[in-house]
Amino acid sequence: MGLPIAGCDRYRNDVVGRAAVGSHAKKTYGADGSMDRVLGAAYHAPYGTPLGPDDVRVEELAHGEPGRSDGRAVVRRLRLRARGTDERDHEHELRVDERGLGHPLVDGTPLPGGVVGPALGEQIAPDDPDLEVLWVDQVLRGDAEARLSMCEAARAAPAPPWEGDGVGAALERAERNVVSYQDEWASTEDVRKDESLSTWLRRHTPYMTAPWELFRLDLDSEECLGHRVEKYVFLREYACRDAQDSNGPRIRYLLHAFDPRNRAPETFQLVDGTPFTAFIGVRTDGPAVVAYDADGVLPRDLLEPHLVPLRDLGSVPLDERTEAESWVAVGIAGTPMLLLIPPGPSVLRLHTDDDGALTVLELSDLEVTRTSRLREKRFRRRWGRFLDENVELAQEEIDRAVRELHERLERRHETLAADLPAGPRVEGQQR
Amino acid sequence: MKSMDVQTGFPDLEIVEGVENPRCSWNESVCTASVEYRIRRRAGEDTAESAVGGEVELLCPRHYVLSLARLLEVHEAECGTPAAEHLAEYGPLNQ
Ligand SMILES: [Zn+2]
Ligand SMILES: [Zn+2]
Repeated sequence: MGLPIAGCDRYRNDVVGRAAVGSHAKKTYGADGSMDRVLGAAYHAPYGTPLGPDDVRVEELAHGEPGRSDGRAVVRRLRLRARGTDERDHEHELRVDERGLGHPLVDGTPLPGGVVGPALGEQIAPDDPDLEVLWVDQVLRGDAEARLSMCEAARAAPAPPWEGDGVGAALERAERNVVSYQDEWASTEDVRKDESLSTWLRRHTPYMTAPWELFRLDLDSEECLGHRVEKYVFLREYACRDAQDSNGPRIRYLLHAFDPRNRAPETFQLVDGTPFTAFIGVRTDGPAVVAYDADGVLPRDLLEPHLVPLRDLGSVPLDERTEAESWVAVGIAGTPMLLLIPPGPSVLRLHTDDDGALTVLELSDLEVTRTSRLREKRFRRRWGRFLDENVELAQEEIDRAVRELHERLERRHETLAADLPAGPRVEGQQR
Repeated sequence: MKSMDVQTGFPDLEIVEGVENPRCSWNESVCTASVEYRIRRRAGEDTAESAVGGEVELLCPRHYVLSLARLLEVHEAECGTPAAEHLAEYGPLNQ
């Protein structure tokens, strides 16, 4: 499956070496279809690794056999030798104890951070039924990443001076007009568990000049905003402003409404079932906000009477319960809109660009976003060789892919002509 | 190796008959490979689609494969309209 990457001998040697050792595996991990079930119809290992689920060594241990974890007997052990960011091989291990809890280790030491999901990096609980599969995939991702970066390093000239986090690098970037961007994904549950929302926001926007502002929504009073709209309290809105535009903010009401006191799954759907992503974004020039844009937010003045400032962090820990159980409104100083974060799980994406001059915070439904990110990742794994422009593709390989895709298109076209009325459908209805 | 344009550093582009700018339409990276395939998307309905419906996209083999694969494996699932419905025509240029 893993094929050599052109121009990278180290990788090629590894693939050859691997093939000779591969037959040691006694059991084939994932042969029961669990990899497919959890990570996609046909599991594809991350692009760049010659390893796969077959390389996992599985041992069932009788009670009382040596090997304990947290004082509990280990009943099952998964092991996989794979590369780490230090370019060396490590022994990765997942110990499942008698309670069914999984403990990931590297070279015998507990893995900091534990197991995280492939789509959003969300923390996976030790008793999650999919923990083993997600652990295997995580080890493979690490191996692929390490190998690809080694190839990159072997191929590339010395790193250009604008790469890196230092001040010198930032200046180089500014001079050459190279922008530094970053994308952080997190589940709101992880953020609430590990730190507070404002710590997380600040940690990932160190160069942002307009401060974040956080409030708890006080929705105890029944009449809260209720008179403004018939049934629901909040409307989705859109606000956008550009410093060049003297007309002031444009605000437009959208079709959808939701009730923040009763968070239903459709919080992040339009009335027709289309998922949507709410966001606030600003562009700054020095300390001044020069432009902003938003969707699915509310004007600050409308909410003002119901805002309770969340205490600033620093040394004062935030009341966890408050943040976890309430709607939280996030704003950016100098802008007139607030993004509402519901209690319960959802996804945050923080995008920064232009060395901190552009900041966008997005909020979307956890399951919808996970599914769509996973789909994108599967595509990138499946078509890794085509996406990797360092790979020379053989004519035969291209022809085969073209033929296959044409067939799929035609097949669907026939099915469609045979039994389907045209018209939009949402994914959930297809299955 | 193709001859290189002195000013841009990119290889000279081959001229495809009847088309002024035969550069590969792939927009996730700069591609200077020669174009061999075409895709014309249907205009309308799909507002989420970045490509403007009705215009012919010319693509190198690699990016033709990726464009069709993305349509089938990513976009179709998200938009709900079958992939084939999106395309008015597709295939090699010399047909
Ligand atoms: Zn191309
Ligand atoms: Zn579509």
